[in-house]
Amino acid sequence: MFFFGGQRRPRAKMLMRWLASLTCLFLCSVVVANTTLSKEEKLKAAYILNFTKFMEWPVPEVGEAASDIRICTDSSADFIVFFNKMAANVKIGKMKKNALALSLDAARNCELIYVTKINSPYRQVGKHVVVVADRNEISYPNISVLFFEKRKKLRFEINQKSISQTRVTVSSELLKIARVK
Amino acid sequence: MIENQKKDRVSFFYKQLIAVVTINILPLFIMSWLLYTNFMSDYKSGLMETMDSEINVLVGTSKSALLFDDVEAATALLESLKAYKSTRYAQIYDANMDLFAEYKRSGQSIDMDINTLDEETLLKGGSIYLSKKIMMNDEYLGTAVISADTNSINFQKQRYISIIGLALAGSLLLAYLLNWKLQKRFTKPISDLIGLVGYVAENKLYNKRLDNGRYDEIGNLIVGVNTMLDTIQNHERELYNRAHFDELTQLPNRHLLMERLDHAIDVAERNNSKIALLFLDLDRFKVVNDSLGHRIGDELLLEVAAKLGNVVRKSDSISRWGGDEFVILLENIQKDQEIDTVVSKILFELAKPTVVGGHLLHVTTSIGIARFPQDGADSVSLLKHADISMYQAKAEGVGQFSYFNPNMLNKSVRRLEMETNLHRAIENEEFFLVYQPQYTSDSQLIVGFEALIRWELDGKLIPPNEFLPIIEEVGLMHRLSLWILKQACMQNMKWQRADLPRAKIAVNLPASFILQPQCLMDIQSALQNTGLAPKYLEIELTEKTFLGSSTTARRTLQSLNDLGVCVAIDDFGTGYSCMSYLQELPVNTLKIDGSFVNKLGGSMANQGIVQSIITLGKSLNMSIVAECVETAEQLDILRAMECDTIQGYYFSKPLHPDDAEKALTPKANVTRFVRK
Repeated sequence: MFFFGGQRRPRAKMLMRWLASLTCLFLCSVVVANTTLSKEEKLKAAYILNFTKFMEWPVPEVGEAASDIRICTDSSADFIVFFNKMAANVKIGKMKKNALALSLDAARNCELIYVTKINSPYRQVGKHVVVVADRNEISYPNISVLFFEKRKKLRFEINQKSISQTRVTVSSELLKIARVK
Repeated sequence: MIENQKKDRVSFFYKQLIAVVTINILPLFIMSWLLYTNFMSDYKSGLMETMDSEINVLVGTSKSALLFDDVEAATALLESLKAYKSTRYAQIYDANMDLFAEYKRSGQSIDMDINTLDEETLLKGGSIYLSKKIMMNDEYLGTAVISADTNSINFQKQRYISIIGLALAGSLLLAYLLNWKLQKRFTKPISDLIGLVGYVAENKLYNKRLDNGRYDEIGNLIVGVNTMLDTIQNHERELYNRAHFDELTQLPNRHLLMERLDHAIDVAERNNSKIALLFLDLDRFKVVNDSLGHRIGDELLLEVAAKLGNVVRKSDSISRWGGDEFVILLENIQKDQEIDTVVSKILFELAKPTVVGGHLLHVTTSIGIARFPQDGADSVSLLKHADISMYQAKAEGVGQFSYFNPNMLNKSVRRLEMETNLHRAIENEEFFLVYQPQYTSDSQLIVGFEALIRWELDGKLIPPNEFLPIIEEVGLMHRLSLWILKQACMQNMKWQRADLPRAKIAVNLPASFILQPQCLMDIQSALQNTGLAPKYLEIELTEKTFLGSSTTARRTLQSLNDLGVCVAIDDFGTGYSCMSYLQELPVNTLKIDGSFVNKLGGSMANQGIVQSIITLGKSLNMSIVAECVETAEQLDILRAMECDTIQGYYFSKPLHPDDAEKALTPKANVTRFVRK
């Protein structure tokens, strides 16, 4: 009521301005994200989204079930924004889940961690987590998927041992085009 | 003709074989066609399914490559289709319809735009095109395209056609061979039948038969044909017998005789031997036949045939030439005495009395003999000469034989000419009648005429005793008798219409005429046609005719008598008439034979005989006619004996109708002498 009383106009105006500013900020951030992310990073974002299409996580225990496939990353906020924008309308798997990118710092119950920093601290964020490393120099426990470049093309390597430890099922389709370690 | 038919026609066997094989093969053709179309349909479906599977695999396995932009992986995937030889090319397009990866078989080119393809199968220009969208859940990733050639279909077509063609050819050959073999086996009896019929048709022989071990329709047919051949053979045998043997005596007939004679002449020529041909003709057989009937005549012929069979040698041939004529062929004759011996035996045996049907008959025969080679060089002339000789023998009297003499030919020719002339005379009515008056012995008035036949040939009168026997022999006597009867009645009627005194007309009829069943009808017809009253007609029959007459003939005479026609016995006294026999006969007049009249005044015995005849006739209430009266002495004696009627040259020779008419010109009370 307070917001919509006689003195509510300035507040409503302020709210509208705030929302407009927020929207503008979001749009600007997306635009900025689009413009600041390299093509490689965008490709990697797409790859990571595609990875989720060929992977199947074990059924979560009661209380752990989430409606999204959470991608936790230490990458930039631009990356997260870009990813989420890209995955907004993509339904994955039989459960028709959405993929959602989160910052690794605040994340919990992640299905996939995308590590981009060399000394990114290890964090226990879930039981069945597939770790994707941005490049070979990154040292992170249980890296299952590693990006690398081959003939100027982005390719990836799957460590079967690591991934089997996560109990995540990887489609042979993915294995077919990956370098399997 | 049969040969031509064989050349021109296809045999029934092959027609049937072709028909059966065609019928067998037709369903095979239909089945083969159905199998072929089914195979081809299955193959096409299989090919389509294979392509569908290929594209499904391609779609299923190309998603990751598309998602991760892995052209190499996609290309490797496409190249895996190389194993499918029909695959021409395969393509993967991304979601923007840009070509992502491609595989082309060597020599193949991309000939179909992706935009013209939908998800249906397209068959064009000998190639099949198939496209399918690559989806990841609901996300469209791209499109896969496969094209395959239809060479394999054509190859399969050829393969199936070859297999089915071979199977058909094999079936055809097998069906042909099996049917040929089976039909050969089944139709063998029919072939045998055809062969048998051909044999019969070609050789006109019916002696072969087919063995029959079958009990089916063909077996029935064989039985039928065999039975038919039996019947034909029996008929053939019967026909042969009829053609070669006499039905009555079972002796060879003239046909077989001629064959044997020809053969005998050939043998005689080779062996330089002689043969003799004996031509026999029974004497007076016609009298027996006519008087006692044909049945007795036939039995007599059988007796004669049996007697002849007992006389001749086994090597000799007896044949019946026809009627009462027999021909005997004697072969291998060395001397004429052998012929004489056989002839004597024949005459002796036949002369023996024979009892036939209760009648004791004395049969004699006349025999003419011709010998080979002196009397004829061939069968026809031998037979003709034997026949001529027989006539010569017959002319010499009964029971005679005569060897052929070339001079007989002239006589025979003359006789033949005479026969021809007589035939012509009958046809042209060249005969004429003369009438010898019959007078009463006391008043010398004409009471009747005897009609006498005359024939003038080349301006010369031929004596009746010369031509009448020939007339009888050639079978014209009945016709001539009818003519005489008619003419005599007509003439008498003519005189009566001229209002001349009434007189009887006497006509001599031979035994053969009176013995005819239609005799009564013929006489009645003559009377009716001319209008002459029966009492003015007198039938004269010889005593011998009466003696040999049958019961039927006697009934005929009785009927004539009842009708009013007078019946006279001509030449009475020359036969052996029994007195009581005379009493039973329907006779009105006795005509004393001229031989007795001629001797009147010379012999008392003869005079006694004439007197006895007159007395006998009178006692039987008969009228007495004396013929051949030539002198006044004879007339006086007869008148003294109370003979009723006188006929002879003393009063008048036979007169032509005009002269007879003049002689009949009215004199006092002529008609009162006519017996009523």
